[in-house]
Amino acid sequence: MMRHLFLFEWLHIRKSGAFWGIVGVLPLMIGFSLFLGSQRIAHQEETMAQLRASEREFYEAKRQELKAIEQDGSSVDMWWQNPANPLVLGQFGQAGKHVFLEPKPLSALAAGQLDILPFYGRVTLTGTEPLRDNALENPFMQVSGSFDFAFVLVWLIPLFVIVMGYNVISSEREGGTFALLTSQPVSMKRILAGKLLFRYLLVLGIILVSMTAWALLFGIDLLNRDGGLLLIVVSAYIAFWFLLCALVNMAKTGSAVNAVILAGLWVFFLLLLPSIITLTSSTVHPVPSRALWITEQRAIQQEVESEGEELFDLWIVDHPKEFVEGDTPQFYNIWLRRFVWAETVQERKQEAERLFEEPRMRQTALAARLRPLSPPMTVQTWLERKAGTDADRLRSLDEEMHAFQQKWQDFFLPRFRMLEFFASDELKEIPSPGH
Amino acid sequence: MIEAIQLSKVFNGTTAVSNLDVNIRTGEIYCLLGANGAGKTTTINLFLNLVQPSNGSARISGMDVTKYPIETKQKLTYIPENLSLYPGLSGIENLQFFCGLSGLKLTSDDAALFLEQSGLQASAVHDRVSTYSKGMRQKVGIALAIARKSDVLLLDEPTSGLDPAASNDFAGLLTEMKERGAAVLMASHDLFRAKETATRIGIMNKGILVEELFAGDVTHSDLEKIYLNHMRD
Amino acid sequence: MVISSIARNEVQRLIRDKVVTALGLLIILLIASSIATGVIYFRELEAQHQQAEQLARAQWENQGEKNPHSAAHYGTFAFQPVTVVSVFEPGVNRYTGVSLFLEGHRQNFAAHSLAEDKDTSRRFAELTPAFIFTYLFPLFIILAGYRSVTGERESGMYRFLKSQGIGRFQVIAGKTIGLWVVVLLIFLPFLLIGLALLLFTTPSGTDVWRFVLMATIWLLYFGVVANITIGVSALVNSSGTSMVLLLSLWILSSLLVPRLATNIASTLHPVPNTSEFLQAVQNDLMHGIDGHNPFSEHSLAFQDSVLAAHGVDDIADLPFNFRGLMLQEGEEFEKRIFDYHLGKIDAIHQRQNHFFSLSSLFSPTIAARLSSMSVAGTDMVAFRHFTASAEEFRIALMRELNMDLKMNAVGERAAGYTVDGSFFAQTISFTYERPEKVLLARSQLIPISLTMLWFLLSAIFLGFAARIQEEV
Repeated sequence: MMRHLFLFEWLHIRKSGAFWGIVGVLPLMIGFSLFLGSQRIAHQEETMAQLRASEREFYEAKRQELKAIEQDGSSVDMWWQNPANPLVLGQFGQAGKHVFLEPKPLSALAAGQLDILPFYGRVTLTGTEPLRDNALENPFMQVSGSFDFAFVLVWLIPLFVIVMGYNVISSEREGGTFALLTSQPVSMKRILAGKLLFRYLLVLGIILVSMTAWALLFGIDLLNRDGGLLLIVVSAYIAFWFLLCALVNMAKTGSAVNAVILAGLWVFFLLLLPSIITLTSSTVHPVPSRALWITEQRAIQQEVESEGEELFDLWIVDHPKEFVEGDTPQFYNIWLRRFVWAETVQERKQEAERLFEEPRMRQTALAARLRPLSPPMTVQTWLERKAGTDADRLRSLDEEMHAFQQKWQDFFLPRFRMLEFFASDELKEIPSPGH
Repeated sequence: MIEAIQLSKVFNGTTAVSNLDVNIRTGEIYCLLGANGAGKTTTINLFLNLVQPSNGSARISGMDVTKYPIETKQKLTYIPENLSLYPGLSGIENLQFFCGLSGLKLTSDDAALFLEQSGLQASAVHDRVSTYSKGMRQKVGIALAIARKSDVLLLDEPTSGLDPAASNDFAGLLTEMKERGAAVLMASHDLFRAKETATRIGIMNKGILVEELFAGDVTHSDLEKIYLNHMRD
Repeated sequence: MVISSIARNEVQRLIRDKVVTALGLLIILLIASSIATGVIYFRELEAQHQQAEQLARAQWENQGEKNPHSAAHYGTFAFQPVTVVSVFEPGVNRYTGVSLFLEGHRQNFAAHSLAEDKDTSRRFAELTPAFIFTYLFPLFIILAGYRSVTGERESGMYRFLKSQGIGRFQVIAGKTIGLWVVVLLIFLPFLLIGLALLLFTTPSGTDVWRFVLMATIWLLYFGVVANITIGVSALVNSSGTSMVLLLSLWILSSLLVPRLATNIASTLHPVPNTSEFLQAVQNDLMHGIDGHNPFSEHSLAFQDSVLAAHGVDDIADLPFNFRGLMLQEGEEFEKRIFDYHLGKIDAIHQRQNHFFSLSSLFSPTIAARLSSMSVAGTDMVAFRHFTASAEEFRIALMRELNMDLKMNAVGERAAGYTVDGSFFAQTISFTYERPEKVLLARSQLIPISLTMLWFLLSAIFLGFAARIQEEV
């Protein structure tokens, strides 16, 4: 029976202009979104490769320099030119390493929050600086958002589904064939199910075929576990919209009214509900502007500077064996203090940060609790998460940088504090961010 | 074959059909006459199980339609007042589709044959239905009954809106169906056609079957008199 | 006479239509709540930025005894201005940085946008009047008007009217006026609430003008939608077709074209990423713009010219501190290089903006949105005005510091020169003056004229639909 329904459904659909419109437009949109996605990933990977190469170059150059010095026993005039000096290797100029949040398998599919939050940063002994590659971007881009696969899936595909499904039964009613259908020894629900199922498979097929073809063309790997999950999510999301079409078609309303109701549901799930959710979460838990946070940071800086010697003395008392006494070079005396201060500043900043983090986290948590009300938002969130471009992951950059900074400090600071310079062999052991 | 036992339907306090008792056997064309709103269409909808009876039962081949909705529909062919088909498909394709819904797979040659048997010109069977006249579409309905070998035909005002020639054609087809052993229930307000085609005539007024007579027993003018008398009640 | 009674009839139909009334009330409710929450947020933000400004100034003034050039490195902040108009049309405000660090030797980018800290659901939709007017209001108009003519045709009323000697033009004109009246009825509460809010918050005349112009832009936009809606309803033969066609146009105009346009624009005119930009600036600082005028050569030549001008051989013999003069000269040189490179970025943004503006030929929504941002003063041009003022202040402050160094760090005081803390309280301070003119750049006129063009075109379309010959 299903085969019979499918066969005749195809006879109808192949004569429908709307269907061929979808066949023409949808693959192009998917293609354009995947093209932009693959470009974004290529750009990201290029940035990563470049920075890693320059890091390698820098440390290799230092190693060669040091080797040469070791071999001919020459000396360096200035302390800041000495490639054995921990400060030169861990803090100054190009020293330090970049921490990246690597693209995930589905990264090309969702730009997520990449246009407002950085995906890499630079770590030195005193600094963890997120690098905002897009600081120069035209903000109107961010207002309008990325044309990524997530957009095509979450926003546009439901509209195509509605076009395919809004009048499945109502058109039978309006065309008069409904009367004959009801006298057939098949229940109307079965006919509706058959028609919609066929249209569902058709839409799904168009999406999957074009995704696969474009992905192959643009070198996006979808043949992995997440790709499989994506298949399930895409199928389920489209099924959700077809189900709405089915429900609306069961009512005895006309096609125009069905179109209005379905468009209304689309507006409700994609515009109205999200806007109410964000309004609720941001009104219940407002996040203060960073303007205050910045002055706060500066106040901490000032506070630490004014406590300067006092803080250092305390550190000396706490760490009696971790520094060299006596007649030490000036740079050592200065930087020994600076590291103590930098550490204190960082500790206190983290505390101040919490004042801003907490309301933000409460706001995010509230929105996350409300989000399941809207399937489109749920799918968007899922995709961003799988792409690794969601806000939570991008915000984890700070933690990753701090974690790596710990390793970096553990490697350099004890040596600096004991004024022990490095040998060229040791330079190979300079830590790199994990992965 | 088509049997109503104390069949009643009340819509929101208004009686549409009241205690209808009818039994239509094979080889019989039963014509229900009545004004608009007399309960003819409701009676047909009761047999189609599109509305639930308030009381009594509607039976097709002895089976209650509410208990065996699919089985009874398997046995009958229904031709609504204005038989609409899919305008984008040809006559053959429409026939194939509707036969397929009752599990009958037709080749297009078979379908063409059935269409021709029901009087459609061979040249028209491949045309899109959007080019068909109403009479031609009714013929597709008859072809459906022939193809499915339906024992039961339910017709709702089948000849309204047909020109006299097409109407006559259709009556001929019905007689043919009757001779093949079908039981036909036809709702109409065309007294002339009823007298010509039907074997038995029932007159309905306000949901009640007020008179039942054999078509052969009355003349055209008698029928008209009887009918109008009942309408005055 | 005939037209007005048809219009009255249409208004009655719409008011009696439960769905239309319910949606109209919903829109009014959404507008009211978006303004209410927007105002609360605006107040908080304004207070925060004022507080931050005061704190930043206090920190600057209390930085204690130090060399003026250390103070230049210490720097200070300017904070993005908050305007009450952004309650109605936030424009790009959420995405531009709230703070600008002003220090010696370089121009920084504004950092820490509000969007960075907010929950990301808002990228779906943020309930502001601008959002409601861009997306929801046109849908309401479509819903109210899609069957204004087809409905009459389907019910046979149209034939009846024609038989009464009423022309197609009169029917359509009446329907259009009727739809317009309903649109105005729903827009009116917004106008009243908005004006009341403006009068109670800021007495600035410019803001009132901005609001009025913004409302005019939105009304023009609604006019475009209403005209197209009635026109389509008059030209197609069923309500279903009319609905589907209008919805498709809405999707194209408000969803598809804007995203496509921005993404194509950024692909066609890519902005260099920050590190490339800084690298290019660094190169020019080292080697001079286009390979000549390098700073080191320049500085040597400058030193010689100064020495020659004062007829001395050694900078120690100059009557002022040469380092102070040199720092100022360097500052200006660095500013030129930054200006040059930022100007290039600006030019790219301009090209992108032109592309958006032109894409509004396919989408009245873009035209209206860009226009409303422009007149609201929440677009890039307005933001640029703020950063430019902050930059002007920065360079003036640097001059003040360098001049102090130049004039006072002389003779015995030259070595280890410092100013005492009270000095910083007397330096110039920054308060951003919002421009009194509503429009700041000629480019802002493009979307505004395109909005008007759309209105004109839609009216012509409607006229065409009303004049067409037909069979009834």
